[in-house]
Amino acid sequence: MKFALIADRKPAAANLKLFLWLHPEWWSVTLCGLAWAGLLLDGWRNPMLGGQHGMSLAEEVLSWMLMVAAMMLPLVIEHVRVTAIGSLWARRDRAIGGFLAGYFAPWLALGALVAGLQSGSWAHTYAAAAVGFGVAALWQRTPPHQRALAACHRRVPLAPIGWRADLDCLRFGVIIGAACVASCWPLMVACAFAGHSLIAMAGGLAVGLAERWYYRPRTRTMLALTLALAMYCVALAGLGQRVAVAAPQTPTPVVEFVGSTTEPFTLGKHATRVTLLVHAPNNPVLLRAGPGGRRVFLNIEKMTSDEWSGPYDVYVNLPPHEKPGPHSKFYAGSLPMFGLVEASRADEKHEAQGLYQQLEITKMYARLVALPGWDSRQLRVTFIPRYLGNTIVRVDRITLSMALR
Amino acid sequence: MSTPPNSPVPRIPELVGATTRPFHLVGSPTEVSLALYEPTGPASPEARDLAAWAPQRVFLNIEKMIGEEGSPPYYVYLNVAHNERPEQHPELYAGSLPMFGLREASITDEWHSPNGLYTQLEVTSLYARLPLMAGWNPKVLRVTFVPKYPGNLPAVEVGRMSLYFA
Repeated sequence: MKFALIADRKPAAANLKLFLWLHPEWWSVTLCGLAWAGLLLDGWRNPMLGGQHGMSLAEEVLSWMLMVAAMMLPLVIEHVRVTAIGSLWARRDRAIGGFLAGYFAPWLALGALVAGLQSGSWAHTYAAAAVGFGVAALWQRTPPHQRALAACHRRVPLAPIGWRADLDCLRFGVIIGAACVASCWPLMVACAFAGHSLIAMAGGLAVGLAERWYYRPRTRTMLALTLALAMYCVALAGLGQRVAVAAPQTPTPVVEFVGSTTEPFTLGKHATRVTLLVHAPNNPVLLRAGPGGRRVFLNIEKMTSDEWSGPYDVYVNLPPHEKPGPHSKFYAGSLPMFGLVEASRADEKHEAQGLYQQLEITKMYARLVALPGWDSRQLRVTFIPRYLGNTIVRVDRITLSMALR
Repeated sequence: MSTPPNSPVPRIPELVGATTRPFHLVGSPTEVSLALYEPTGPASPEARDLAAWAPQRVFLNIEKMIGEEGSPPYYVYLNVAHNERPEQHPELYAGSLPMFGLREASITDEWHSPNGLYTQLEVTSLYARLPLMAGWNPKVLRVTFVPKYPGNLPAVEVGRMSLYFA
């Protein structure tokens, strides 16, 4: 370490070196600043969503940890300094790293739990956040909270070198982290329910500072701030701000085709009967869902014709002597042929995609399964023109698909 | 870390040695060895080249002393030769550990965490004399704790003892 040389050559570098010597917590503060910057950026990009907008479990946990870094690091900066100063010079950053790893571990465990709770839509409402802040206000007045707060100021002797030094730093972090979790969990959970709202987090940080940065906690200030946050959330909930917070991301639908015709066919002026070969779904999610957990769709794909056509009524497994009609229990729906000719025409801008019709037959399918003579391997579909005519409609394919409810 | 008068450079303490695990003081003289390491930060020779660097000071910290009952004070001596009584070497006397408030600093309740007592002894002049004495080892410092009132005393646990250069 050629400090004198640095000082001679470049006083700014020497001053920087001195600053870093005096403030070993510099990179923890940077980490905290980056967490705030990330949350601010997220809040700025999604101003109406309060920073939370349809996230997966991993993203929820990541957001939680960002929030913990932003709100909690300012409260443990003194511990970070103590860890650094209590360690050999060459080990200072490593010691801080060990302390922070231990500190964040209990928060990560709570974060995973909260992320699990947030899979429910109730956890994405200001009402839930208001309840959370109310619980936080009550929690602050209880003896367990006082005990946890006292434990937040604990000190752990650190070995100077070797694995014992690493273990001591980690243990120190875990002890302080666990005490912080015990002290602040309702406040942090409420902030998470508020969608990591910047106002909620800033208020929560102010509560933490009032609690920690004074020799005696400013209990009245803490209570007033926490109740103010609760009232803020109540007001927003009353105003119908449904979410600070968007509903959780719609999961990718699970869909599987379980039956199909093998070749194109035509619809004419008489009834047309086609048979689909059907198999059980292969997707384990659909299999686990069972018949009650699935939706069933009949898809009539790429209907094309050169001429106008009237609608067709569609029946599934219509017995030969059963009288068809819209009130028949085998009636699946109708195929309106509006736009048939236009959809069948290819030009410079369009391909001849034809018409596509999807009929949901979930309830009927459940009824058919219960009828005598049910064959799970095939499905008979009957098309009956509603009006007489000579138009020929070509149908490329009929498929049967199942989706998770 | 206060700045000394007429110096633009603040004093920055650097740990140069500490015990690796807690030890106990009982009612008889207790000797504890402290492994010392070469300073690599502000207390290193390179840093001392900096103009207006503050004069070096040496501190012995006895950290996190915990006892379920009260305890009389202890006297602290440095590098007392083996087979010799510390009381016969006042030149090696570093200071005393008052144990006032020991029990109160060791309890856990809604308002306290058991951080114990912390005592810092400045041993700058004594430490400067130690290399001139026989048996000096720059890598080990021996610290002897002698109870003011020997006898069957309740044990005091010391979390760590450390030496700082500043």
